[in-house]
Amino acid sequence: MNILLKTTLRQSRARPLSTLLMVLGIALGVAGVVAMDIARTSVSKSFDLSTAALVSRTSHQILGNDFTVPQSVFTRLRTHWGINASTPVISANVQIPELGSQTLTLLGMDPFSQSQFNQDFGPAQLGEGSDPTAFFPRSRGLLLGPDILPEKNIGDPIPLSLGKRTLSVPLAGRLTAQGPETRQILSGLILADIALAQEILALGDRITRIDLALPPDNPELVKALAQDLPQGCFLIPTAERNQSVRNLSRAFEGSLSAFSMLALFMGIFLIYNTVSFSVARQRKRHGTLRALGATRREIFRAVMAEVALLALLGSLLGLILGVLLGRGAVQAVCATVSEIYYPLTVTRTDIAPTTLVKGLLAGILAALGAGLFPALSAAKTRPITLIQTSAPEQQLARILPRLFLAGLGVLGISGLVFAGFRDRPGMDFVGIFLGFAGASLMAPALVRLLLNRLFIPLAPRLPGFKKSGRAVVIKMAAGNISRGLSRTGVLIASLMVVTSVYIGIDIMTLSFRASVDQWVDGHIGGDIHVASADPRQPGLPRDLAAKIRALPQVDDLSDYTMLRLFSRVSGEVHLFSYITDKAVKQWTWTRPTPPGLTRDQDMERSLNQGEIWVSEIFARRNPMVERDGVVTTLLETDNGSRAFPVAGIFRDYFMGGGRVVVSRKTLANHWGDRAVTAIQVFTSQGIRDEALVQTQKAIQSLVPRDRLFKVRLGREMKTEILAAFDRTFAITTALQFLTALVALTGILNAVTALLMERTREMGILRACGAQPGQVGKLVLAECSLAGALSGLLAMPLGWALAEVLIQVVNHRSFGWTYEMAAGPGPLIQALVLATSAAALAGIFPAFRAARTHIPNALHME
Amino acid sequence: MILRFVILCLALVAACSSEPSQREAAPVNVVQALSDTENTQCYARADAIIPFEFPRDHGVHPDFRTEWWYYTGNLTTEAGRHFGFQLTFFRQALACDTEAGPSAWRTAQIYFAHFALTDSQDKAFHAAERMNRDSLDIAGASPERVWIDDWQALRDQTGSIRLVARAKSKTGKSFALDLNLATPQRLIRQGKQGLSAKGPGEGNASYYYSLARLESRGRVQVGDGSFQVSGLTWFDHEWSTTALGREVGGWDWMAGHLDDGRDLMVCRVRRGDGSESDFGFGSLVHPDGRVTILGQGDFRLTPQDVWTSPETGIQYPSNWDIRLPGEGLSLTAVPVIPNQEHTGDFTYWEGAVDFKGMGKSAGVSGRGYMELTGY
Repeated sequence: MNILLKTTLRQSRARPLSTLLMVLGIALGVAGVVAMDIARTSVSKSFDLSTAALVSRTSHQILGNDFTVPQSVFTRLRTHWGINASTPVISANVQIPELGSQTLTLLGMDPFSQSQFNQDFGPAQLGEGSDPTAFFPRSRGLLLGPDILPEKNIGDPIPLSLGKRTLSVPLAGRLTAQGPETRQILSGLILADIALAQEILALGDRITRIDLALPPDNPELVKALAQDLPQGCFLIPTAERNQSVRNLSRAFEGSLSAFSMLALFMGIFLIYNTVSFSVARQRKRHGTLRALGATRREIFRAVMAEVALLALLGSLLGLILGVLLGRGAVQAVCATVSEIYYPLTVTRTDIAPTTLVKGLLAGILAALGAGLFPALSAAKTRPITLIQTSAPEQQLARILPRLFLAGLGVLGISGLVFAGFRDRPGMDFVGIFLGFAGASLMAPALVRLLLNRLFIPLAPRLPGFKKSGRAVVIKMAAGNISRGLSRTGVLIASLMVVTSVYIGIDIMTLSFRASVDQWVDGHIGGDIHVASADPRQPGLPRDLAAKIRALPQVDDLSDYTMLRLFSRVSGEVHLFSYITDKAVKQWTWTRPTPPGLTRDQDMERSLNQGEIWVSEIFARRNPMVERDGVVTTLLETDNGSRAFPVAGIFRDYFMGGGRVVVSRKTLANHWGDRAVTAIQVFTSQGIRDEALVQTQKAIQSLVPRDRLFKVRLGREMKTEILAAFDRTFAITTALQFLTALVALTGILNAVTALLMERTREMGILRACGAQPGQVGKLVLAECSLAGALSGLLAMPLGWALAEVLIQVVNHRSFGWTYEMAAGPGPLIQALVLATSAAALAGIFPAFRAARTHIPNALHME
Repeated sequence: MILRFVILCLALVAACSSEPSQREAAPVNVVQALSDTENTQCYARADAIIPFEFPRDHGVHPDFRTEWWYYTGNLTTEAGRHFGFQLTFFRQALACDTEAGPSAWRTAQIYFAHFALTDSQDKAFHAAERMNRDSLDIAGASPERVWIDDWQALRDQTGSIRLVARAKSKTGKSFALDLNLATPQRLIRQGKQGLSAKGPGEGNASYYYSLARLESRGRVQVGDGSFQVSGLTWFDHEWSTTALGREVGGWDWMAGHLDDGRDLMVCRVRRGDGSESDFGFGSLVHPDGRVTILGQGDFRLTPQDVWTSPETGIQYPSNWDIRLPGEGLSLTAVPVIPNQEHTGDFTYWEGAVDFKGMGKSAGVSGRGYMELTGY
């Protein structure tokens, strides 16, 4: 081994703490990237596995606008059209109470027609002891994979719950899977004969869909078949359907990949910070080696080799850490997707090789990149200047104005990117990256400006400053930072970036929560909610609203019909038709209000004239066509697709493919006269707690006993809804935590490295009469000040990042908008975080500095 | 009459699997199914002579476990191009103690059908199959109609039958049949007035009648070619619960329309070891319509050759020597093309054959169908 490399590595070993910090710094950076990426790919994979039974490999599907199809369509398909490559399917989400909140897909199939073309479940066989006749022809039992209630024996009752209704169905057999993929798909599936499934779900004479394989060379058949279907049924190419199912969570995955990019940035910053300090720390030794005759190339190689080795170590550690963190994150994000987009019946941690490669590359390349400049400068500079620590400071002082201008330029480009390409995924992150880079370039000049022009002149004027006796220490600390900018600048810039990410996420989360809070109050503001708890019978008794209204404590109520509609584009939309609408809507767009009417009057009038209101998410996902000033959009009615004029778009956080509000008349005309499905009850002012519960009981006594209803308090529902939204942001909170960790590690690393370099300086200070306590305080003050400066600089950057996350990333990912609504809280919190992290990082170095052994320190010459 | 039989396992496993080996593992020998006496107590049995009543008995007998409607025939174009066809519908009850429930999908009756076309000129054999439950009128049978999907046999008030089927073979070749069969003139109650014994045990019998020499006219399609054809069709309708004795391993069945006006059907039942059982059966319809029912001792069937299937490797006896000493009839039955093997969910040989030989006073010839199962 090269002698230089040997001495370098020995140095690393001799300073285990700083070496460990560097490795840890890299590891943490890599871990963040890997964990986020695992979360993203796992959601994607879990989604695919959960919908494996839903998205078939067939060429087409027949679907209905209310997600059911008359079963007679299948008979006609077989006996009239002779399409025997067709199979009826019933699928629904059910739960098994013993499995808690896990949702499973109950899949009703017809084994005979199914055998015409295989569903892609992979190889699965009936296990030992199974009673196939209980599956068919007796159609009384279920088939389960090996992992669902493994303790149950054949014949044991399996409880299934549909809403509040629970039924018990015997276990007919076990399917054994060959291969892990099949096993995972089976872990989310309950198979039943189509007859049994239809009875469990009380579907009457309807099924969920028909899968069919049509010959690819016969477009006329496809056309003729589509025309032959009854109203409300559609023939959809499976690829299109799969896409619309997939789209349900694609947006969320988009936001996850956005956060994974953010984690990557932070990782790179942290690694850069760590490595550059680590290399800079050794300037002196490199100078000595050069003086002893080592060539530039040898120095460069030795430095880079050390960086590469530690980077590899750190990255590998980061991969392990990332996988562990990722596993935790997967549970959180899958829960979110299940709650908001589509119930995931399979939760799978998917660790893609590309994720690991990405993490490894991010670690090694960022480290090598970070080491490159210090290594080059170590190799290029003359030996004497290398030993002089002031050399880089002189260089930096010269280029500081240019750095500032360059940073300003990069910020400008970042602004242009946002202005020009905001709708292109990926470009916003180029913008963010450029923003970070620009701000980082500007940071040293800003720090010097703040210190020299603001802090140093103004500090003495602060009340009590001089009396405290700390004046000298603080002044010296400020001077030290300002003079040592070549190193402190990097430290402050890195801390600034990380802190700004913290601020950005904090503001985004708080703003969103505030907005959702307002929305929940506006839309679900009732004190008591009544809805059916049996998905098989969503309608409420027709006289229930009048009965509730007659109760003495009831002031008013909002009653409406909610209908889930099939949508070709977004998979599903929710149709709402109010009898009384007490919801407070925030319009983000309305067509011009005619003179003489208020907007609310006009909106009400337009609804009654057959126009519709749509939510932001709907407007984002479904094509809105404007012609002659009239905006229209397509909805699937009982009589086929029909264009409806849109009167306005309202802000909405209702999940699914978006929401549409129509009048009762429009509902009756296009979807039939349907019963009310939910009632929100507003009680008299002042009714609280006990009285409210009494009213709840009174309502409960009004609903028929033979059916299952949910009669719930509004405040409980609100808590639940907000908790669900909070869970949506669990991953961002985790990222925020990671940010704090990155900040702490980074600064700890930097401070340790910086102070080791300044042992001699500390020795001189002590030799000149400084007390150990004073030296310690000086170090702490320097750290805290650097932290505070980072926090200050991070404020505008964090604010800007929040703006981007809210306006660009969130809007594109979820289709919803909200205003930035956060007070100074996040900013102050971030300032405190940055300062205290830096101060915390300074404690140990300060302790060491205080204990500097004067002769040893000075002896270093 | 088929060799192999699918019970639920096949369909179920096939539905959940893409492994071809599992598909092969699941079929159960039909002979076992037909001779299986377990859990069959709840079905009706063919154990006594009953008077057939038509058109009622053209329809379904759901109290019995197994039933089939079997159309085979030979057709020629005006130019003399020959096609053989087979269109057969099977019903099988998988249980008689099903659960009650409101779903229209509930049933224990499954239907399957085989459709095959033999093209002598192109030496091609096209075959396809269908299977489904009888729910929602996807498949079923009545005196007027037997059907699965869009394959059907429709009977009008005069008794004339229309056969309609179209399919694609495994090789992707489309083929179709649309045939009108004239009102039947020759109804044969097989065995003892329709009770056809097939084994020694009680209930080892089926109710069995045939319609011979059905004048047929219609259209055959193979690929892009469409042909006006005419010829003769043989029809069997048979229902039973435990028709075969436990020792039975398969059978060799053949029926033909001879050009001297006689219609012959003979069937040899084999034991598991390949030896001939004592329950062979047959019938001979004379030109004047008189029917002679044949028993085991009335005929002898001897294969002269063996044909090995290139696809399954199964060896089938071929070029049969048929002797009816009492009738002074001696024939050979030679397949029009060797490969008429069904290789779908059940594997058996069924195809068009040429008959040639000597009657009492003169040479006779004819065409018919042959079925070889249990090989």
